[in-house]
Amino acid sequence: MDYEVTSNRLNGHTRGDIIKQADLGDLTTDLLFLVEAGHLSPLKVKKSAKTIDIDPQE
Amino acid sequence: MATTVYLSNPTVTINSVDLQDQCTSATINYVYEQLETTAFGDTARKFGGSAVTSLQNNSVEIELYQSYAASETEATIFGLVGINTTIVIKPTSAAVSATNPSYTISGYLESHTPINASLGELSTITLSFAGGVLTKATS
Repeated sequence: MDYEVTSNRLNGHTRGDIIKQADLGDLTTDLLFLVEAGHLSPLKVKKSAKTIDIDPQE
Repeated sequence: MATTVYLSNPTVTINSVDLQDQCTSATINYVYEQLETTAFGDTARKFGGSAVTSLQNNSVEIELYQSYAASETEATIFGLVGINTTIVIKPTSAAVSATNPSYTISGYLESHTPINASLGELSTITLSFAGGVLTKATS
């Protein structure tokens, strides 16, 4: 899962960076703590919009 | 030549969060517990020895300015009470090297004082992390 950095305090990263948990090195706590503290925001996977087939008008 | 160390720009990260600009004091106590190995025939007390490895009993004490703003001290620290978290301290913000070693420890934060204020003074908090193996990196 990817996370967006939402503060300027995350070590080695700047606001707006997209990172994975592995990018934070030897983190011993759950990423939830960093999310709750406002340093990270989980990126939700966007589903592609459904397409509608329209018959061509005659 | 005698030298002195004046730490004005150390980096302090707690749980991967850089709190350098809120930090005023940091102390790492690197301790191996003292085990007595004195035996009959000895004329003085002895401790430890090549075949005796005692437990590390490390601790880290960090003093920070309190801030309740978003992503600042309180938001970062409050959730860490009662769990182990990684603390990394370097003498300067430069790259890790033999002359700028990095010290890493996973310590347990037993308590935190969310309110610690006096009239006319900036609010500060003192965090004491206990336990964990201290690792020193020089590259």
